Amino acid sequence: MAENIKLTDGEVMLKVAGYDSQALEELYERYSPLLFTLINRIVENKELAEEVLSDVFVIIWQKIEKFDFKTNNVYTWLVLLARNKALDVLKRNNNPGMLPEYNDEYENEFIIPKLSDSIIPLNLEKILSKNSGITNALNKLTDAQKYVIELAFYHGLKEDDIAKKLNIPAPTVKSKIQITLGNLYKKFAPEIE
Amino acid sequence: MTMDRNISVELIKSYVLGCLNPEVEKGLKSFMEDTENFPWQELGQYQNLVAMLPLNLSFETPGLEVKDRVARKLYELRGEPEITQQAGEEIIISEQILADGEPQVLIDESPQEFLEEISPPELSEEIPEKTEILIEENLVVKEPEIPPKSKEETIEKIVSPTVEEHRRGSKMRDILEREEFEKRTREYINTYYQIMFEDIRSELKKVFFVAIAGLALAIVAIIISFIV
Repeated sequence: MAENIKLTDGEVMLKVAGYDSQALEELYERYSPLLFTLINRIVENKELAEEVLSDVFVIIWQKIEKFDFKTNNVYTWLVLLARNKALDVLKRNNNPGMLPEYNDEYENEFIIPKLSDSIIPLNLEKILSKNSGITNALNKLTDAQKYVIELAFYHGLKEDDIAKKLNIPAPTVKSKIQITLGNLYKKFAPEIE
Repeated sequence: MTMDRNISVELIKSYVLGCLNPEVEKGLKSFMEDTENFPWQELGQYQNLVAMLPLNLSFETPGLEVKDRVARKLYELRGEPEITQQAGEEIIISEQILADGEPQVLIDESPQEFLEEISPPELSEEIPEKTEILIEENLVVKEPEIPPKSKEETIEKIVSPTVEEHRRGSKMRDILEREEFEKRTREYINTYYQIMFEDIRSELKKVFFVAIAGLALAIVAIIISFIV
């Protein structure tokens, strides 16, 4: 366990791919606060969030072969995996029977994130060291921008649903998303390019 | 499908946020698959950007037992390869039956084909095959560890059974008291009837003796009258 502390996220994932449970434990130690916070934000229930978090780590273990070791972006893969899983649980709880049966095929298609082949790797340690700058940039968004991002990212609403909910035209929603992500992109460019 | 590069970049922003309407998302996905001109770099950048959104949240730590829960779930998963083996054994048994000339059952697949079908999918060379490792000794998935429990958990563990025991104890007391009551009632009833029967019996005895005495006196009186 102690030796894993020195490893990069990518190296830890490689050991997880070798079915090293201590590496999975190390990954849990590093990522569980971030992933739990994200999941809890989506499902808004601590006990359910803990259950989903444990499911996410089981998925990581079972579907490690789906992780792309060439691009090696552990941070984004885990965050998007946790988000997809949490939103799926939320939708299934809110609308039982509306989603297709949850099976292996479904999980591969809708829960496991498919990252771009050209994505640059992000490292949790590096990201957290720049957290204050990132937080400031996010806090500078207008309330409307924050709300649209909130509804899309944390509530899993589609553009049309957001337009209905806010009682604004769909093109306005699209435009807000374009502007918001465009502005954030400019601020975060050094980290994400 | 044709799609302007700028339009696809615009769609990417909604796609990474997960809010693209389903039919548009389908179109974008087929564009991704079909074209070499797809802006993959932009997709990667926006995927990274969106993954940074949770950094704005105040981080919380999950309960200590969650790690155990993960370990327990992984531990339970170890049973899966055994199921595969059992399925294999069943096929061998079926084969023996056929060899012994028992009524033949039409089997579409050979045992080997069946085993291949239920075997785990092949993985790339760098990644060792999961099932082998799981079978190979359980080295990988540890026994669920028992972490140090928080004060609250400890209290819960100690207090809850005590309360339960207390409840069980009072139930037990209720049962014992009821049994005692019934026993005493039975004894009371028995004693009451016993006394009552004894009274009647003694009354009958008295009547019997009086009757006998009366009869004896009558016989004596008759004898005397004959003698006189």
